[in-house]
Amino acid sequence: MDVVRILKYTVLILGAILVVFPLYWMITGSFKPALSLWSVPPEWFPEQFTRKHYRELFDQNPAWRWAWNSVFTGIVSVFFILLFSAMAGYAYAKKKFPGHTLLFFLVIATMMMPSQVTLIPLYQFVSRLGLLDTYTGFIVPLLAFPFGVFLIRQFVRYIPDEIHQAASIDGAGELQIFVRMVVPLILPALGALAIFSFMHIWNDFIWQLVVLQRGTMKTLPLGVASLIEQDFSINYGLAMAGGTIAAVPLILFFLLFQKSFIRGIALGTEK
Amino acid sequence: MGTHNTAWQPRAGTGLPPSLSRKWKSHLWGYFFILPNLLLIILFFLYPLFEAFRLSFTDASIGPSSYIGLDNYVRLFGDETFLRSLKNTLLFAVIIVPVIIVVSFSLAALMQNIGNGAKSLFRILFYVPTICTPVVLTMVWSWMYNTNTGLLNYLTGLIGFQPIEWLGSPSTAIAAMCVVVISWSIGQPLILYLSSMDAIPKEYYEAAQIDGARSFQRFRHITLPMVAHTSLFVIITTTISVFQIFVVIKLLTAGGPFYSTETLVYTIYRTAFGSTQFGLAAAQSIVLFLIIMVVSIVQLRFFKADH
Repeated sequence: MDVVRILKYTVLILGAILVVFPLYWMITGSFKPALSLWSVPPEWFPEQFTRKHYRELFDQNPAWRWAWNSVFTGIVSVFFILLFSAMAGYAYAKKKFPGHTLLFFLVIATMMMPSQVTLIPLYQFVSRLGLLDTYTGFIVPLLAFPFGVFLIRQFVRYIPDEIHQAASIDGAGELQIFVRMVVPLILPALGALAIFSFMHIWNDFIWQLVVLQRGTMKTLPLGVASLIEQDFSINYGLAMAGGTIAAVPLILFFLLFQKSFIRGIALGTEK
Repeated sequence: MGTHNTAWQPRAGTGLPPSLSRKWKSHLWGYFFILPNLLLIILFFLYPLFEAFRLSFTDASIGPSSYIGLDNYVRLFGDETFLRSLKNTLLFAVIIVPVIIVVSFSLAALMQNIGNGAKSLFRILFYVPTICTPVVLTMVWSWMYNTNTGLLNYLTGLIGFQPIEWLGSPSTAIAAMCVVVISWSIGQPLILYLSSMDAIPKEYYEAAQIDGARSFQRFRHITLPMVAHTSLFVIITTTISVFQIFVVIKLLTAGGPFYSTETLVYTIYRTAFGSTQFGLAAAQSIVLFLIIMVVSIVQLRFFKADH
């Protein structure tokens, strides 16, 4: 084991610890009784375990509701994003209708747009329709997701035209071709898109903040953030419990599917 | 009808020559497929974009609004708070983007030749914070940065420092927030670098080695150019996302003390939803939009010119 290898590993291990430590600190903190949270020297490993913060989290806060809101809006949004992106991506790749270049260019242009510029008008739009604090008002503006169209189109372009022609000859209608042939062929792209769009929506804090104001309509990140916005002494134990609930399912999900996750990310960003 | 009808032929009786009709049928399906997405884009991207432009020329607040021309923009560039916010945003970009590039690239380079198990493990470890919601991570850092009860002041206390108000003064707060953002941002570039480094054929290195090139030279002349396109992508996307920093500001400093740690998005948020000055906030968001566009175009031109 030469010096270079040792150095390499040291740097990598240190880096990994630095980056992962906040999570460790959060999870252990969520189980520490309130007084231990402030103990000096800090307890690197909880000496006493308590579930009090979690009980408080669920009893005094609509944490279940928050979790449900996030999951429900995430899944519904992803479903429609996949559907509409697949449809549009397929058409832009294979159907050379008049204006397809221009319209696709439009899609790309909106992809480059930062979301904050549309924030206020969208807020006013949703507000005027009376759809603030509703699932509809929250979800529908999120469904456009131009990146999804881009991703699917890139993928569909690799499907040989002969397949389409063969299916046409066999008497398949357009919808059948799309559903029975194209969709199965683009499953990896759909998987990657599902991951991307789900994370995008889950993490879109400012839209959640602005549209969902009622306590019971908040998403999990929003609800958890409200736990540390007390005016006086912040209840860190409670906040850590909230954070753990918000983070751990995502982490577990990632660990389970990390191979496809990572492949999907590399795939999705190969421009 | 009884007319012979295969998929190549459209239904008889459309009045058009058969091949033309089939083509148009295909086109119509094309329009059908793009329709939902196109409608959504028009309604929720284009319309709001034009509306944002329009709003920026008004004094929209609660109640009736009137057109005031460029007043909002003029006001912005004389507004110290806004200029401070602009400066902060640029500062974040200038600090964070290079650090992320260098760190993630170096980590990826270090992770070559270390065996698949270890590589996989480190890859996961560095990516996990990227998976966690920024809100959650920011919250933990908020606790760690706490002046009285935070872990960091305990650690610095061990070396003899007095408790530092990390989030209390603009310079330390900005540095502190940079650290937070960097910690969750290196995961994705790391993965991209790893996969593009993996794509470099081993033969290049072997050939260079045979030619007598030392490892640093191999690195400089083979690795670096081959990952250039990944670097470009990372630079552009990271810059865009740094310009949009919001959560760390909202949860750590709320823009304070006295608006000194705001970034553009936070300012927009506060102007629109704190002071309900929608017109002014719209103008701010247009400024942000223009800055991002210009910076992205400049980056593309600059880096494409090199390669």
